[in-house]
Amino acid sequence: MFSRITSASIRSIVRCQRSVHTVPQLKNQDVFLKNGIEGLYTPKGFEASWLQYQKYLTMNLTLLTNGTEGESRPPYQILLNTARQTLGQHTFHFASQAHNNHLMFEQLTNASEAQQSQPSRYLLGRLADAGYNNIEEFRDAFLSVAELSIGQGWVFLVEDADKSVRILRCNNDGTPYYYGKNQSLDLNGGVNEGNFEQLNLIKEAGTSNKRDFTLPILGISFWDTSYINDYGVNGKKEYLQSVWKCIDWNVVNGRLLQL
Amino acid sequence: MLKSHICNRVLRAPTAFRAVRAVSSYTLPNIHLLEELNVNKQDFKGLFSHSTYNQLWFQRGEKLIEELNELLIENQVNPPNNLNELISLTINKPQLQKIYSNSSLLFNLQFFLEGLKEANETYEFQQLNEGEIFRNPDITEVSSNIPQNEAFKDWLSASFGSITEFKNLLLNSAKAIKGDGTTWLVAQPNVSESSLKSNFTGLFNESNEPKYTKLSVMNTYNAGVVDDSIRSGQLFKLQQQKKAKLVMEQEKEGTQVKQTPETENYLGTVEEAEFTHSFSDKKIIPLLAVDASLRNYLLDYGVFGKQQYLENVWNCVNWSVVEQRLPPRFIANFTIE
Amino acid sequence: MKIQSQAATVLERTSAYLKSGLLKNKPVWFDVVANHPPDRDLTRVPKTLLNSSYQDPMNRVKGNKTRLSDQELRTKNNKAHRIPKLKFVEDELRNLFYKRHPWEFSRPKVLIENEGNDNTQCDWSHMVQFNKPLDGESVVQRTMWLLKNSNRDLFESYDQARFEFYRLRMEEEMQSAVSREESGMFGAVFPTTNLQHGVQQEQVFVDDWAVLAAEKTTARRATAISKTAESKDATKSIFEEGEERSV
Repeated sequence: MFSRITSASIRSIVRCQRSVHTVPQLKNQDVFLKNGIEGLYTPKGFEASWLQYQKYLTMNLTLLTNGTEGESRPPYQILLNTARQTLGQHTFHFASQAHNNHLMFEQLTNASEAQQSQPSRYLLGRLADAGYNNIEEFRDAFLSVAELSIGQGWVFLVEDADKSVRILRCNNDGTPYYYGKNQSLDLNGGVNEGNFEQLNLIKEAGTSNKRDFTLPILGISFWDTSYINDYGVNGKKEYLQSVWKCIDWNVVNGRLLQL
Repeated sequence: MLKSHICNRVLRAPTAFRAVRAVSSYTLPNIHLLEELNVNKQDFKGLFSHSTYNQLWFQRGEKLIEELNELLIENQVNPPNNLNELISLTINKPQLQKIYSNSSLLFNLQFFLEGLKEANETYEFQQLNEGEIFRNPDITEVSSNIPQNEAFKDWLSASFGSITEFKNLLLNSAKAIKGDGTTWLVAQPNVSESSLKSNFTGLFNESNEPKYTKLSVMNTYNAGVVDDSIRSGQLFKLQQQKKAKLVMEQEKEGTQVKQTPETENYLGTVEEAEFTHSFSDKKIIPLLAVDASLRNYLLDYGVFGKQQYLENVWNCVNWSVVEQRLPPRFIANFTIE
Repeated sequence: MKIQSQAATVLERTSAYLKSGLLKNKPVWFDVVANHPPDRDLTRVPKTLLNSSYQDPMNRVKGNKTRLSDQELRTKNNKAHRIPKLKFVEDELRNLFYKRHPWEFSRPKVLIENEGNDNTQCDWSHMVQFNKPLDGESVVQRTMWLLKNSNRDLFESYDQARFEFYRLRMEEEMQSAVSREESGMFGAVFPTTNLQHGVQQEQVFVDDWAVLAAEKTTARRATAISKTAESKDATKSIFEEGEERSV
């Protein structure tokens, strides 16, 4: 009703549209819903991990961003916007989870198809620079981070501003895009000197307004929602082995900018 | 006296199937109700289906115990009699972090399950859908499964306003936990451990034991523990160490200690206030645990079912166990903060 | 038939036209107007001076009357022309709610609607709405729904809606607080708190203002000095000062 008209000099009409957050459509979503993801999810498991959970996240995100500027922004922008707000952390949770979950499901496909894709030579080169001589070595390191973590979270392969790659663990709803909300530490038990130093480094970076150019290339969830239906409460290890076999490397390769 | 021994029923017991190991080890503690239900493969009436509690306690608990025992052998730690001691023994040792987290997770889980009884009414487990988001909050006064002990009720009302307000606070706190975590009802003493040790309060307190004045609700996440007197002051200690180290280094190099200028419009933050408050080094006694982790409700209630799960937990709280855990209440004529 | 100026007789005239065959078909409004004839003459008749007392010089009481009095000018059948006062229970509820919860005004409110009928998408059998933030209006609408669809009276409905609103607000506040605490336990760092951010934002403007104020003060002092020197132009400089102040 109230479409805002900008000043005549711009000569364009900006229409302010209200909207809600919805579950994005995956490439093979209908097939997956019917058959599950071969080698990873049953149809029911896929529905619970993707459709139901993503619906839960986007609906809650809608409720929390209703009537604010966040309602017409994608989750990615909302998470960046709320990451520094002490009062907006619940909104951040749903935005960050919605984004991460989408990032993960985008890169999944049937095991037989996934086997045909390969990490690109460029990616392997970057991994070799980071000390992983072959993909198996990287896999073991990557999955063991997830396996040894307690509680919920994400493990990412991220690319830094200098094009080097590294493994990043984000506990709970942590995001790889901003160091202040990486949440890679667990301070719930004893706090050792290493953790303390790292926390201080993040604090210093925060006060000096350091910018973060980290981008995720590959992300795997170890939230209960992503395996409990098909693998049970204690099925994390088994799930991680299966999920690795279902990664569509073409998607992952595409996330790296190659010159 | 503290009744903490009630909750530490994990005993060192070299039972038949574990006798292979020479070193003493832990076994999965016996939760009577669950054992009984599990024999007949019955549901936990009003809360968990059989498969869920089987996975949550028997399988997960067994896994945690197994890992714990392996770690104890690996690190050559002589296990003390109860988990609480093991927790306080390992919390400040980074190399034993895994032992700490396993024992603490186990303790929290056991504490939660031991405080439950079957509900009076059956609940039909079903995956709830998105309609749950629009569920109207129940604003009526809580009537189901309220504690019977008058003294306890009185203490609850004095601390929270009313039983209804207590229930809202407890369930809201649990619902707000996003990852793994537990919401606790705890008893708070009036003075900190350190001031007890310094005997300052001996003037008011002949026995030199903490006196419990207030009940509160608090959250722990992942393998966190309730007891502040164990974990208290960690960050503060590290900060002091770092400062001392810095001063020493700078003296060695002969440079001046650099003064970090505070920005002019710097306010003390709420976080700083909380920091000094939350590590107040008090011997807190847990009374009731509500496990809010996803694994507890995803299987029986679905991702939208957390509220329903928590309502059901309320109906299954065994108040008589909670009352047993209560320390004697101390009503002060005046309070010293 | 002579020219008709009376709108109220439209029915009679039309029926005469129909009878005479001047009109073939009955106009659509015909039956409606026949069932609900206008109960008063809606035309506004300008006051004429014809009946006024000044026509007859014998009736003059005192002085010459050149115009009508207010009394005489007043429209007599003004009921038909007055805009009726619209009264809604919703407005009273709204007033009551916002009077009791003044801080609810501090929450920004979006006025944009996609279709202009966004309220029709709401289902008030529940408090939480998918298209609308939780606010005072929710309480009002929910109260009205409860009033219509449950056997509560107005006060009970309002209280029910109000307490549901409180509970949802409490829940959200707790979510916000716990989420912050939880992420803090996993190493999240917030460089500035909300309070601090506000103070910093304010400080930017205060700093700008401080520079401007310093300039103005020196300018004013200079004027004051020149004023004492040239007392002749005192009025002028006061005028200038006043102008300056309004900048």
